[in-house]
Amino acid sequence: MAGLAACGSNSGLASNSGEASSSGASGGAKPTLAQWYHQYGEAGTKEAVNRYAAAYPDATVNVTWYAGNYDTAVPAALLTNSFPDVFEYANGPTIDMINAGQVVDMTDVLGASVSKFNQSVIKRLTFQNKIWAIPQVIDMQLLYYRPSLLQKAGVQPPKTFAALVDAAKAQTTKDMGGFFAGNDGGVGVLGNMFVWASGFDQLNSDRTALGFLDPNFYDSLAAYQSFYKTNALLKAASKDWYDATPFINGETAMQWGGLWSMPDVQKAFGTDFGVVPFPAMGASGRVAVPFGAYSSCVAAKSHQVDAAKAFATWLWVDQTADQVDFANSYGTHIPSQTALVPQCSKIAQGPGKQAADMVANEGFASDIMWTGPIGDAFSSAITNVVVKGADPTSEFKVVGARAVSELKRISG
Amino acid sequence: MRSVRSRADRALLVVRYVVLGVLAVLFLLPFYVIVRNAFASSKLIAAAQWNWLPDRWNFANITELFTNSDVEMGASLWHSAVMAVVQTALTVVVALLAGYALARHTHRVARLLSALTIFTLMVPAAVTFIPTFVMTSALGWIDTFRGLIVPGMFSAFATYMFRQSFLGFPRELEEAALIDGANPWRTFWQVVVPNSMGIVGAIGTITFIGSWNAFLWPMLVTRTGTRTVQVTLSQFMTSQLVNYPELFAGALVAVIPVLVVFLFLQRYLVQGVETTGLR
Repeated sequence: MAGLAACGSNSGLASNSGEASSSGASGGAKPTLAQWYHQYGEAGTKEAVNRYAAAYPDATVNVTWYAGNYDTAVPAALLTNSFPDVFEYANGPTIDMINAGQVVDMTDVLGASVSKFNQSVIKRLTFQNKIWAIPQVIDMQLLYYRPSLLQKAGVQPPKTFAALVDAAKAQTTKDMGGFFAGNDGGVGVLGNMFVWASGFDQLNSDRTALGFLDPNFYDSLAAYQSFYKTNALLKAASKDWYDATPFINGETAMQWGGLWSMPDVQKAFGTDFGVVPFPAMGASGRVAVPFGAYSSCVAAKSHQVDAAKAFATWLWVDQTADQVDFANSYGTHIPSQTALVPQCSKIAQGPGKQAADMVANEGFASDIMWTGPIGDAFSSAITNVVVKGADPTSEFKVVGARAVSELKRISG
Repeated sequence: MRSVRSRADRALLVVRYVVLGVLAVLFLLPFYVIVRNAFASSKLIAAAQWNWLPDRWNFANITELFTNSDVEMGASLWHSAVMAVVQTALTVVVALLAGYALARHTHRVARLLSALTIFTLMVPAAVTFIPTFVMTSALGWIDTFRGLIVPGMFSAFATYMFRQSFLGFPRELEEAALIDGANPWRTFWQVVVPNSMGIVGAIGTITFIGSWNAFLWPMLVTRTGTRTVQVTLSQFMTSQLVNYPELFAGALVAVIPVLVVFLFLQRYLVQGVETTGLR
């Protein structure tokens, strides 16, 4: 019991205890804000966000660097009185957070500055004509290849899925796979790519049903299923798709990966690597890359909503030097404000610039109404069709019905 | 005839030992991989070609865990130890008392309470997880040992197991103590508990291991002040990369206390598995 009696009460959440609110209300004293980040993998990021917070003149900002399952921890914390005032969340708050009134509308603080941001990201953060978060930096996925290997095999960087399959087969040897997109055969990370690269959107224009239940989409899945059966698609590697090690080790000739891995690839191969978007699938297809942006949200139950909004705006709208530092100094990311892109040396030229251009021209982000239940049903269907050979029409009929009821639920 | 049968028996025995030996090696293989990777370089761990031995015995992976101030492995081990030991002790004491009461009282209320105890075992933990978290937060116990320990110290499973054990405990021993002038409280602590150390050890061991290995609850209720070792290990896995050498080195360090507990209390653990049917 002594251990229990001795335990302290340090949650780093002073702003929610009421003490900070009262001191702020009495005038003079700076408010105290709690800000949460998920744990970034790149060295130096934690120190950087602490530095940015410490530099804020109008409030004391306590940064919590959250290890573990951040996507579970934040929604749980928002149900309690131990929540952050300002927090980042992947692609902004979920539709459930918005509908539950757990986050505040950020449209007013963005104001005219909204035009400075990548408009695809802003669209992703907009629901019912309100913008619910301020974008931080953009991350994206793309296809890595090595020109020397393509040249040796006598093929070009693929622009269509058929060309990707041919290139993968041409480069496959007994020691090296042709293409790698994860140890599940790519069905996890490429699911949405099948939709976008086939020329469809996740939802229809009025967001009441799925937007891709079409024979062309099923043909794309059939094409990937055929590819899945070949040994040109590497299905087991030393690490997963989000780490470039299999590509760097020579386990695969081409890999679907993240922009964040580009420094590692560059270090390993120098100039002998290139990037392309995911190739077009089928006759109505188009090349595509997925992107997302951790975005800064403000909790509605914060005792200091205005102070929290002011801090988020100061950091992610006004402090452009910090935004460039955040995007460019720790891994490779793309600033959300388009004017800052040329200031980031890693994406100012070469494959980095190509990646930034892909986001601008061929980028897709998950629809804000593409919720977890829809995503889960979709992923199950993709796995059943590609891995188990199930009939796509019947599989996606179920997903379609699930999506309609879910979209109806969240639309009220 | 006898020699033929004994030869067959010996052959069967050899086959059994070989099969069991192979299975034991297979089950131990993941633990060997932890040891190998804890001392290996990241390059070897991620190598396409499998290597049985580390490329070097790099103890820096271990020392880095304890010298890196961002990781705070020492503090995490302390937090885990406090949580596991205190939670185990409190769980056993509370469940012992509750189990004894439910075993000795046979009236309608006691039967109802027994049924409710069993009923809570059938409610999935996921259902009560968020309400428990909200209550813990409302009490101001986030990032405290109280928040880590108290919600987990009321175990219906342990209560039920003690109740079942006490139902079979000889009443004559208790009656003899009562005749000698001991009150029920003294009889319980000086007669019943000392003669039930087998089940106490089994429940204690199982509770300790479960508490030490807990992840989801500590992940939610801790921040930086009481982070446990399992949550600390998760720092090495981010959405961008997995730091394999430190992850495996941390796993090796984290498994040692459980291994020590197992070595000293394996008799009770085996008894617990046999008694409870746990896998």
